[in-house]
Amino acid sequence: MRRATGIPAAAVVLLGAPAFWPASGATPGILAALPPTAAALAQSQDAGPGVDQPPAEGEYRPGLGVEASRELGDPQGEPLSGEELDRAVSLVAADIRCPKCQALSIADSGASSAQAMRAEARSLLASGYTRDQVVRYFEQRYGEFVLLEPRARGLNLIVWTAPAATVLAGGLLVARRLRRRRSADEGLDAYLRQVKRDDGDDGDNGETAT
Amino acid sequence: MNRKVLLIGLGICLPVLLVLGFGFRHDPQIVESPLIGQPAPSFRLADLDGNIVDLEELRGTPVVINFWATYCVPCWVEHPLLMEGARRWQGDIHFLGVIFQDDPNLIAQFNAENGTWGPSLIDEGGRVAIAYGVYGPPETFFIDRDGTIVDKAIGAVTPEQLLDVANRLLASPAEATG
Repeated sequence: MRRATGIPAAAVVLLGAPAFWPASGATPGILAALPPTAAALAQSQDAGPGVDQPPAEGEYRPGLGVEASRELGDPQGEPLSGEELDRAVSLVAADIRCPKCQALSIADSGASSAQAMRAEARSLLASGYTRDQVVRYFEQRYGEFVLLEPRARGLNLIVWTAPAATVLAGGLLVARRLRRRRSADEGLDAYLRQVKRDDGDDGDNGETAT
Repeated sequence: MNRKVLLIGLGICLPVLLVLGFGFRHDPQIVESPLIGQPAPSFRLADLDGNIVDLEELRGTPVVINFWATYCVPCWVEHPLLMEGARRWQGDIHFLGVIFQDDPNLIAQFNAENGTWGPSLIDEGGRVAIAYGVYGPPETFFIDRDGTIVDKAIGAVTPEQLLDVANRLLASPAEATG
């Protein structure tokens, strides 16, 4: 069965049409009736800068994609391979958040974004980039959000110190309560001893009295 | 004792309220891109017809890069706007589409049915999307004549947004390079 790719009118109704949407018949069909754009663009692309002619069939065209090395500089480690590479990829992947998931690392996620990021990490580590360089590369692209463990600086310090501070405050509260109870118990013991002593004295007297 | 309880209660509740107040004023889906103000990552990608587009070679002209897919409903919504934008600023601004984790055949079919606003570039392995820190489609990056990312739109681009950034891109002259 063929998957439809056209813009369903229902989606347009639900999401609203942009203001640029042609006024006459705001339906997807009208888009196809704007050939000058596509034709003019195609023409300008053919003649424009940065656009090569298509390759001959079967011709291998290397160098496609993006050169991470231009962003990262020179590798500062040794190229890894085999099990060592697998281990390094796992370590890096465990630290990086999957951008399309809820609090899952790219090591734990099966999302295609996570797979692509794992592959990128593997490629960089195999080229000799260190774990720190690879983590920094992702952080420079996605922001600190991509780190599952935020760096201990600025407002993040709250995240790092709050649990310890809470445990400390709770501990102090409990210790204070215990100390109070102990002093109260000591006071009670002293009082009971006194009562016993008095009672003993009185008891002797009482026994003889009754 | 009551005052003490009140103070402890305030000590616990106030920070929580402050954090919530700060959090509710921000859309958790929107993460500021650290790439704004940085040089746009260079790439060379093939479009659906095998033509190679090299971003470096487009330097000197503003570029709009849109990461999109056919399964992304906001991408459908912004499609006519990008068509209009590409037509309006033809020759002044390059509009490039980068396919985000989608089947090029579906993209071709979509383009045939709805028209195109620029080349649909095949990003094998999603490496360009990673270099641009794309969380999900659609995301649009606006690059000035010098190759610096000046703005980014998350979700469907609005006409106001496109108009505003396009005017800024066209108004800024290229910095003289040595």
